[in-house]
Amino acid sequence: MDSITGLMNGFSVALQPQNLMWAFVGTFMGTAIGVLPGIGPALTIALLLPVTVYIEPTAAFIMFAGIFYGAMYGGSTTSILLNTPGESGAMMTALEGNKMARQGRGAAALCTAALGSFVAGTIGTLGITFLAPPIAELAFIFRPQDYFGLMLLAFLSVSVVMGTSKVRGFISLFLGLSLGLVGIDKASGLQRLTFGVPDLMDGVEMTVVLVSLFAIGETLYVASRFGLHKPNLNPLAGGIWMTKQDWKRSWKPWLRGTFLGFPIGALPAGGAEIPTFLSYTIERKLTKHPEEFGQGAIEGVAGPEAANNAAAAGVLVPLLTLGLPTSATAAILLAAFQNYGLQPGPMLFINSGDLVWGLIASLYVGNLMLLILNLPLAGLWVRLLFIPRPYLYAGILIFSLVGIWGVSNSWVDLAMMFGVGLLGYMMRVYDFPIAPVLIGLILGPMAEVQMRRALAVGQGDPLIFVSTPLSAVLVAVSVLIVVVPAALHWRRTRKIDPTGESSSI
Amino acid sequence: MTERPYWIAAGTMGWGAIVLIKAAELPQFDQHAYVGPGFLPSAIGAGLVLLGLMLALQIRRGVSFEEQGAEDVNDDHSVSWKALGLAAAACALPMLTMKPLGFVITCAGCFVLIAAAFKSRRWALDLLLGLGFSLLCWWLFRKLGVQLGGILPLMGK
Amino acid sequence: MIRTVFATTLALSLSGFAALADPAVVMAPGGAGGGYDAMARLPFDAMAKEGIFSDGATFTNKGGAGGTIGLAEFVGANRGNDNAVMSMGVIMVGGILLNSSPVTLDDVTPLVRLTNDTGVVAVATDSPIQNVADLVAAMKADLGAVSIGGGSAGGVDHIVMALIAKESGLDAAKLNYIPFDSGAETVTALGGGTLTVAVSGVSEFKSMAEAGRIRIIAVTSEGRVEGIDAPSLTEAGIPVVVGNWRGIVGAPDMTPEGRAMWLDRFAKMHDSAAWKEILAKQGWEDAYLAGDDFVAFLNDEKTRIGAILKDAGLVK
Repeated sequence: MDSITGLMNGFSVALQPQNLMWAFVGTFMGTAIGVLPGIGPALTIALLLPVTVYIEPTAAFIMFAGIFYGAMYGGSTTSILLNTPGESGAMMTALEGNKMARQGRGAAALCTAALGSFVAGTIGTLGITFLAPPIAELAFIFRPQDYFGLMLLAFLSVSVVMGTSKVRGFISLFLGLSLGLVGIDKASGLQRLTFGVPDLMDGVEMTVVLVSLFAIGETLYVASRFGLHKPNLNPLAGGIWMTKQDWKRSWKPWLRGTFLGFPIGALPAGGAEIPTFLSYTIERKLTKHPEEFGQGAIEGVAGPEAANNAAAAGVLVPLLTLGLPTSATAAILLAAFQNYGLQPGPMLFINSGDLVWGLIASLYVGNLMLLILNLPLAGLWVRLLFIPRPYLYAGILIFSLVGIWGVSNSWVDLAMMFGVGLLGYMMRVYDFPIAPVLIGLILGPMAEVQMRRALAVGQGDPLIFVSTPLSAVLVAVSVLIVVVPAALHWRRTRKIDPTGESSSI
Repeated sequence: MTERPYWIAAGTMGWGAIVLIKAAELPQFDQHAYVGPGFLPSAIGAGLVLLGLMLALQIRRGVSFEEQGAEDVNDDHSVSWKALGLAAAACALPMLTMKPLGFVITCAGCFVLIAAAFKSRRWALDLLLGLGFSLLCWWLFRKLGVQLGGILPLMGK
Repeated sequence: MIRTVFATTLALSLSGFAALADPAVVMAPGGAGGGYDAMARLPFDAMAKEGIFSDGATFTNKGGAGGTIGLAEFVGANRGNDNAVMSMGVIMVGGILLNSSPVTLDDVTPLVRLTNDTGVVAVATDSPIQNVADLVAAMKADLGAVSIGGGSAGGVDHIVMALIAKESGLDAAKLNYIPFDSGAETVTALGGGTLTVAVSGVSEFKSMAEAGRIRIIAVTSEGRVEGIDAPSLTEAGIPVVVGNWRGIVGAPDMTPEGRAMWLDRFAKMHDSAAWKEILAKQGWEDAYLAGDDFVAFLNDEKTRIGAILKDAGLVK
């Protein structure tokens, strides 16, 4: 009951005209900046942190809430239209979304992303309102072995984006894993594969690899094979709205994505990537249209996009209830709280109830505002594709440079942009899948850290990996997913082809 | 005629070998966790070498490499090496000019090169557009606080 | 209302384009929103507010490798520039040794130490370990079985435990130290029962201790800390004092006049109301130490940290 009265009070704060105005400013800026490659919500809010000097706390948090959700959503636009995801959370959206855009169904993809974000954001905010304390407990329940089990499961997502050749898919994955090794090993303080370059000590910057492989690789590839006289496909051929069929195929992935994203986002070492990987895998396994996957299946946009946004909402749970910032964005929000002399945590609801409920209410408002802003814009965004190609791709390169150069001013990153961009070109020419590189780069270091942590706590006993019920279940599921199809395949090929030679490996 | 790109397999194995050699310099085991800092690099390096070998075998068997589809791609997949060179030059340019000449000039150069790679012939207009767009980006993002450096570092600004 | 928006936008644009006389060149060797970033910006906020130094400042963030990348760039670009300063702290002292950085703090002009964050040693609420003596006993019984959580390997948290081990006659290189990326991860792993003991800053552990999730058994300052019901390590019989301090250094080869000018500014700033307000808001402990005293302190820290990192087997 307390939550309800609190929330009502919150709405009376959030719906004041000037706060609505801040919510609008926030969503707009968040979306606009989130569209750019390499510039995510954390950086956006950090850049706007100095504003806290000038405006009152409620207004500032309402604006930040708008930026937060806006930037999460904005990343999907370029993923879908230009195959250039700006954040790791938007990568899975690009896989199917861009294929849809190439069939003239970009607007439908953008709509399902916007609606999925809205559904996920709203359910996530409901979760914050009513379930925050129990969900926050997950943080204490999860042990390193549980995280490791979760990551093992997420690694299986790789198998579904492997493309046509398993060998090439694994080369991509191992390339990503090897890039993930670069830097100082956190457990021992030793340098690995840094070749003595100081800029590499903190590892390969994930956004640089992401932007270079996708945006730069794509630019080089399209430029080299650009046909001036080929009739361009009308980007609006598929209409500017979702069909009934699209709705039918989208709503379940939205919900599944949300229920994956929210709790994992609330974990201290969860993040937004794992739920998007898992969501994509699940949708691909559950779909009634498996032939469309890889060719532009709407489920593959709806699920990961919802998971991405739900994870963003999940991050707020430990921040507000326990005062624990579990992501870069949350750490900056915490700094914003501290700028106003507020300490998030159990006492925040008691000491500054108005502010917190105002923030939660503004999450609902910001979410709705985002939908209102973006549904009509979907048709407009798609018109981006009418920009003449020379200027469109030149613009992509410049935005990539803003993201890469602006973040660290490092020459090494520029060199990496060139090198990895060429790699992305070659991978396209020789049909190596791109996503496994990023999955290896993101998950590899995470899984290694959790694995070594678990082993250190268990003093080297490998049974630690199945020592909790959760980790045992996760490991068992992972093993089954790999073993069962392989066994079935083996039996089938044995029956058909007694020589046993199989070309799928 | 099937293309036989053995060099990709060689490259994979080569990189795997580098990872392996570097991993050998690190302790493989740790006193408490057993898995030390060198353990995973060794495994990954070995995996790369093995995968490179498998790829080489596949290439020997004549596996085909189909190019991935993209937007606006020629139907016949004919490659314009000139366009690729121009686009690659655009991506390499920042390495040379970003520090001495600054963000705006670098980006204007990239803009012109990319436009030329995409067969735009109005290079004067492109230059103008590129300068304008780069200036706008620089101004806007600097105002937002993104560190893009000065406008003309050579003049100390 | 519209006016507020307008004023904010204007203020923002002005702050970006403060084309005033000789703005200071300030390096923050860490990312936006982090500790070094705040230590670079907030003193200038206070100085501007109090009119001590109002020519503005251009900030550069350059994070990585414990701040040593920012340090190298600062030293390379600002030799002899009386207007250039950089934020730094104890993490950088350790980072230089751990990464065998070619550029060291001998290359810069130390100015002031401004703040300190005391460390705390904590256990889970239901842990059988009640005090430091119990902890040392457990470590002596089976050093590997005591899993220790904290920040990066070789950071202040690790140094605290290494010093405790050394003072208790144990081999600091054999600690089962598990680094975590953030205080949030450490505290949940401790509260959830993964770890035996963890070390972090007061600010990161205090609220969790108040909520009854973890129990603080010692603080790393010389005496007790107000609001925390735990003895200092020294009181508990282990003479170890470690603080996560931060301060400001000037450009290499700064002139004596330049140094005196900055010392004067920081002295005025330290006495100002604006700075006191910032300290309270950020939850920072005042640890002002200026000029030659700071130089002496810095040299002591370098020797001490160098020795303990060697004992812990992290520096050859």
